[in-house]
Amino acid sequence: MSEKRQSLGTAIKTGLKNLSSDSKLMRLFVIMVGVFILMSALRPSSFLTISNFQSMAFQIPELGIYAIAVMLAMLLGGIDLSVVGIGNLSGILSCFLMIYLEPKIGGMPALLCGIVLAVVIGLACGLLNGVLIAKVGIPAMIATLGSMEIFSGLGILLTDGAAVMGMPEEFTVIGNGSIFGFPVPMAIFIVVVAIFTIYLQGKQFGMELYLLGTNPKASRFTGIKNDWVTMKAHMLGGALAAVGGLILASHSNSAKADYGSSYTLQSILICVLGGVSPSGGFGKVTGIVMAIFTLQFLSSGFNILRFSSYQKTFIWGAVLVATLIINYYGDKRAERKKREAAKAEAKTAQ
Amino acid sequence: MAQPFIKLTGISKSFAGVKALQNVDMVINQGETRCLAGENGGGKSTLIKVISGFYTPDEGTIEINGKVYKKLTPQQAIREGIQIIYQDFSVFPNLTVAENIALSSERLENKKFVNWKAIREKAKKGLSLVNVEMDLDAKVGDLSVADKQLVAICRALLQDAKLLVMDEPTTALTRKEVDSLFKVVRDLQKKGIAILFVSHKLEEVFEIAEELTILRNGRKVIEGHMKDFDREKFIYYMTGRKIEESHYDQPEVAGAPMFKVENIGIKDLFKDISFEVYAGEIVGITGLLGSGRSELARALFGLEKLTEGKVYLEGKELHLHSVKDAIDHGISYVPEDRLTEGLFLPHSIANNTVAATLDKNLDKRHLLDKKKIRETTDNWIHEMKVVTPSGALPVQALSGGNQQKVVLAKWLSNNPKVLILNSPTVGVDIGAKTDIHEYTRHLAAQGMAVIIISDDIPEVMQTCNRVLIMKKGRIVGQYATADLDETSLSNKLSES
Amino acid sequence: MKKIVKTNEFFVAITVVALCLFIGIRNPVFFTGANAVSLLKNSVVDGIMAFALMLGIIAGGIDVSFPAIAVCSFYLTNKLMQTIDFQGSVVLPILMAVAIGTVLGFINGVIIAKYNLPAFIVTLGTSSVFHGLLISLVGSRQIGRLQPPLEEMSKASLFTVQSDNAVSSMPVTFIFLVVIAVVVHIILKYTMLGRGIYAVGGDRVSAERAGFPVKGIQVFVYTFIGMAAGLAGIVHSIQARMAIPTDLMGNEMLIIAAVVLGGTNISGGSGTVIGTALGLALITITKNSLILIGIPSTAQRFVLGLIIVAGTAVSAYQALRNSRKNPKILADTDTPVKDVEGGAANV
Repeated sequence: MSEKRQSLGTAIKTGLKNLSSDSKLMRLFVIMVGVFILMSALRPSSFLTISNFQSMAFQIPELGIYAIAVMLAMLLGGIDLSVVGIGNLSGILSCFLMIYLEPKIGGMPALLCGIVLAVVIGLACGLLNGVLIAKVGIPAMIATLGSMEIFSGLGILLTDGAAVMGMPEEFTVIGNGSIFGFPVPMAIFIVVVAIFTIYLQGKQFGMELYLLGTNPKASRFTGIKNDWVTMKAHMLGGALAAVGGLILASHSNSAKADYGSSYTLQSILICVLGGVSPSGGFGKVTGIVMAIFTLQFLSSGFNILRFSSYQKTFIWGAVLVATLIINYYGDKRAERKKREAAKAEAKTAQ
Repeated sequence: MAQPFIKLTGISKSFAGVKALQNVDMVINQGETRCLAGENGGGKSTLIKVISGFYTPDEGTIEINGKVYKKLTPQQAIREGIQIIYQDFSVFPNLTVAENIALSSERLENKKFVNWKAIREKAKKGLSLVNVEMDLDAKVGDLSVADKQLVAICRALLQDAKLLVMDEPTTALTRKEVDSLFKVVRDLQKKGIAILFVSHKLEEVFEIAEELTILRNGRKVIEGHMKDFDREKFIYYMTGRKIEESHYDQPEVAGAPMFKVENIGIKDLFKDISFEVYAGEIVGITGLLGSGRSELARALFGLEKLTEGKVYLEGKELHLHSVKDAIDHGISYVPEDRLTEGLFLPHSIANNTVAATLDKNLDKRHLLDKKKIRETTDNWIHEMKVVTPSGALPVQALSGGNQQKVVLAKWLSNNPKVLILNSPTVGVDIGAKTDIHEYTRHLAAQGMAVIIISDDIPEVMQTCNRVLIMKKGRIVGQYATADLDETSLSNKLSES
Repeated sequence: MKKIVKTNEFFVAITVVALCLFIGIRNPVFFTGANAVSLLKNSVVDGIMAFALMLGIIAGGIDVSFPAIAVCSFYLTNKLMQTIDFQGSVVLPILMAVAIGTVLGFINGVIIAKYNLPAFIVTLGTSSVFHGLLISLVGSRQIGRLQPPLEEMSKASLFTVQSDNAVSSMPVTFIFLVVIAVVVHIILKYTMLGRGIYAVGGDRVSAERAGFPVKGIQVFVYTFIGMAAGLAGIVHSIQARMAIPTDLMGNEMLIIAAVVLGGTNISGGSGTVIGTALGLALITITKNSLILIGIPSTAQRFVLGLIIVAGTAVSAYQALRNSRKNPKILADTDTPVKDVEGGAANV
C-alpha cells in the first residue's frame, strides 16, 4: 500500500516537473486550479456536488474531442473549420444505418455497425480536407471553410434539414450512459486523450507532425512525407470529429445537420487557451484537457450563478483575448531570459 | 581631396551587458568603396544598424556631412542619404517594378496620394541611373534575384543616396550578374556615391573595394588600403589566427566505387552526368550559381525525380523515389540553407539530431525511445564539440557554427555511406569552417564517400581530392585537385 | 489584352457569366430586370462588409468579428432610438451605428497591432466578447418595429422595375454599397495608405523598412472594417424593418469566401474591388437563384461549398505547381559545351 502511494507520489512529482518545465502549461494549470477554487468558494453547496460533477462529465467530452481534432490541424500550422460538419454528417449517416439495420440484426450489432460507419465517414471527410490542402494547395482555412459547407450541405440534403430520430435504444448509451456510475462519454474522452497523448508525444508520427508544423521545408529535406503526414493528421481529425458527432447525436438521441454550430469557434478557442500555437508546431493534449476543464468549471459555476449562455460567451471570449495578451508578455519575458542566458553562456564559453 | 561623408568616432554598443561594438572609429569618404569585413558575430550588422539609425550607440558620435548626431534616427539617416540594400532586398513581391522603385521616395516626400504617371516617370528615371531597362509593369515577385537587387538599388538612388550600404550583395548572384553589379557599383562611384560593401567573399572584396575595415569581437582590428592586403593577411586579421591551408591527399582506393551515376539527367535542368565516388574520397562538384549543381545534389537525395540515367550504390542500382529512399539506402544530404532547409529552429538539439532517424529510435513498443534519443544526442554533442549546456536547448539559441554542427550530426546519425554536403560552410565562421573541413576529411578517411557541392574555391581545393566542374547543366571537366591551383580552377570555372 | 486574360478577375467573371447563362437559359425569369434588382438588393449588406473585409485580408489579416460588430451597432442604436422615441433625421441613427462600429473595430485593431497577435484568433475572441456583452447587458428581445425615420427610409426606393409578374424596387440603401465600393477602390488605388496596405500584406518587414507605419495601417484597416460593419448593420435592420440581435451571426465565413473567390489572396498582398464584387455576385446568385432552376434550397449550402472549393482550387493548384517548378538551366541548343577531360582521375 505504502509502496503504491510512493509510486503515485513520484508519478505526481514527475508530472509536476514536466509541467513546470513548460511555462505555458504551468500557467494554465494554475489558472485551472484557481478557477476551481474560486467557483468552489462562491457556491460550495452547489458547485462541489456529485451531480454538478456528473453533469460536467457529460458536457466536456463532445467539445473536448472536437478541440483535439482542431488541434491536429493547428499543429500543422493550419486550422480545421469543418469538424462540426464532419461530426454531424457522420452522425446522420450512422443513424440512418442504425435505423435501417436494427430490425434486421438487432440493436447492439446495429450500433456497432453505426459506429464503424461514422468513423469511416470521418476518415473519408478528413481525407478530402487533407487532399485539398496538401495536394491541391488550398490554404487550410479556405479549404475547410469550403468543405464545412459541403459536409453540412450534404447533411441538410440527406435530411431536408430535419432531425433524424428513432435510433436503437442502445445508441443513447454513448452519450448518456454510465458504467458503474462513471459517465460513458467521459470514459470515451479519457480513452481519446490517452491515445492521442501517446500518439503525439510518443509515436514517430507525432514527432513528424510537430516538425512539419514548425518548418515544412526542413521536414521535406529530412525525409518526412509532408503530404502524407498532412493527410493522415486530417484523417485522424475527421475520425475524432465523427466520434464527437456520435456523442452529440447520442446525447440528444437525434442527429441533425446544424447541431453544435458554435462548437467550431469554441474548439479553436480551447486550442488557443490550451497553448496550441496558431502558427503550428507546438501544443499538447494536456493543454487542451486543462483548457476545457477550466472553461467547464467557469461555465458550470456561472450556471449555478444563473448566468445566461450569452454571458458565458462573453466570458469565454474575454478569457481568450486575455490569454493571448498574457502569453504575449509571458513570451517576451521568457525570450529576454533566454537571450540573457545565451549571452552569459557565450561569455563563459569565451 | 575626398571629403569625408560619414565619420564614426568611438562608437560602443552593448546588449544586456555584452559588448557588440567597442570604441569603433570609421570614416567613409564621398565616392569611396569600402569593404567592411569580419566573422559572423564580429559586429558588422550592429555597425550597419548604427549607421542607418536603427540602433543608438551607447557612446560615440556620428558625423554626417559635418553635422554631428548624438542620436541618429532612421528618418534622419535616410534624409542624409544613407541607404541600405538588405540581403533580401526588402522588395514587395506583389507590387510592380515601377511601384517598388518609386514608392519609397514618394513616401519620403510625405505624399498622401498616388500619382501613377509620376510613379512611372520616377521609376524610369531610377532605372536610367543604373542604365538598365526593365518592364515597369512586371510584378517584382516574378523577377530574377539580380533584377530584384537592381530594383532595390534604383529605389535607394531615387531617395538621393549618398552612401549605399550593401549587405552581402553577391550571395545569390551568378558570376555574370556579379560582373554587371560591379559595373553598376563603379558607375555609381564615379557619380560620387560612397559604397560600404559588407562581404566575406575574399575574391570579390579584392575586386571591388579600395578601402578595408575589419571588425573582430566588436573592435576594429585594422583598416587600410585594399592594395596593402593579401589573402593571408586578410584572413589573419579576420580570424586572429593563422589558418593553415592544407590539402586532402589522394586516398588509396580499391575495388568498386561506393557511389556511381551513369548519364543521369532531369529534363530542362541537367543531363549526361556521369561520375563515381570511391569510399574514402572527397569529390567536389563546383559550378556557378545556376549551373545545375544544387538541382543535381537534390536529385541524388531523391528530392527531384531523375528522368534519365542510373544510380548505383555499392554496385547495386538504386531507384530514388523519395528522400526516405535515399536515407534508407544510406545517403545523407546537408542542405544549402541551414535555417530554412536544415533545422527546426524552435525545437531542441535532441529533436533536430534525431529528426531524420526517428524510425531507428523506437523501442519495442514502437514508441520513441526517449533515453536512446538523449544518449544519441549527448554523443553527438560530444563528438561534434557543440557548445551547449544541454541537448534540450532549442537550436535557435546556438551560434551559426554550432547550428551547422547540429545539422551535420542529424545527417551523420544515419551512418551514411554517401554524404552529400551542399555549401557546407556558408555563413559559418572561419574557425568553425576549419573544424567542419577537418571533420569531413576524418569521415572520408573512415571509409565514407563524400561529395561536396560548393563554389568556394579554396574550400574545394583544400578538402577535395578530385573536382568536377559543372556548367549549364553538364559536367565539363574533371580534375585531381593535386594537379590544380586555386587560380587555374577559378579560371576554368569562369571561362565559357 | 493578354494581361486581362491572365488576371484572377477574368476567371471569376467567366464563372459568373457561365453561371448566369446556365440559370438564365433554364429559367428566363433570371434575366428579368426585377430579378436583377432583387439580387442587387440582397447583396447590399454582404457587399458593404465584403469590400471592407477585403482591406483587412489584403493587409495580411482577417476579421471574423464583423457580424458581431454589425449586430452591436444596429441593436444598440435601435434600442436607444426606441427608448427616446426618436423622431428626428435618419442621419443620426446611421451615424450612431457607424460610430459604434468604428469604436469596436478600433479595439480590434489596437489589440492586433499592439500585441502583434494573430488576427483570426483575436477577432474570434472579440466576436464573443462583443456579442456576449451586448445580449447580457442589453437583452435579446427583438425590436419588431423601427422608429418612424428608419421605417420611412426602408420604404424609400431609388427606382422600381416591373417585369412580367414581379415588381422589384431598388432601396436607397444601395447607395451605401456603391459609396463603400468607390471609397475602398480610391483608398487602394490612389492613396499612399492603400499602397501601404498592399505593401504590408506583401512583405511586412520590407514595409517597415520602407517607412510605412505598419501598426498604424493595421489599426486603420480593422477600424475601417468596424465602421463598415456598423453601416452594414444599420442597413440590415432598415432593410429587414426590425432588429434581431441574433441576425447576421455566422455570416462571416461566407463573406470571407466571397472575398477569396474574387481573387484576393488569403495570405495578403493582392485583391481588387472588382474581383470582390464578382466573388460576391457568385455567392449571391448561388444563394438566391438556384431555386429558379429547380435546385431545392436544401442543396444551397452543398453547392456553395462546391463553388468555394472549386473556385479556389484552380489558382491554388497553379501556385503550388509554380512553386515546385525549377527554372530551366540546360541550354536549348544541344551542343556539348566541352569535352570531358581526364575521365576518372583517381584510377
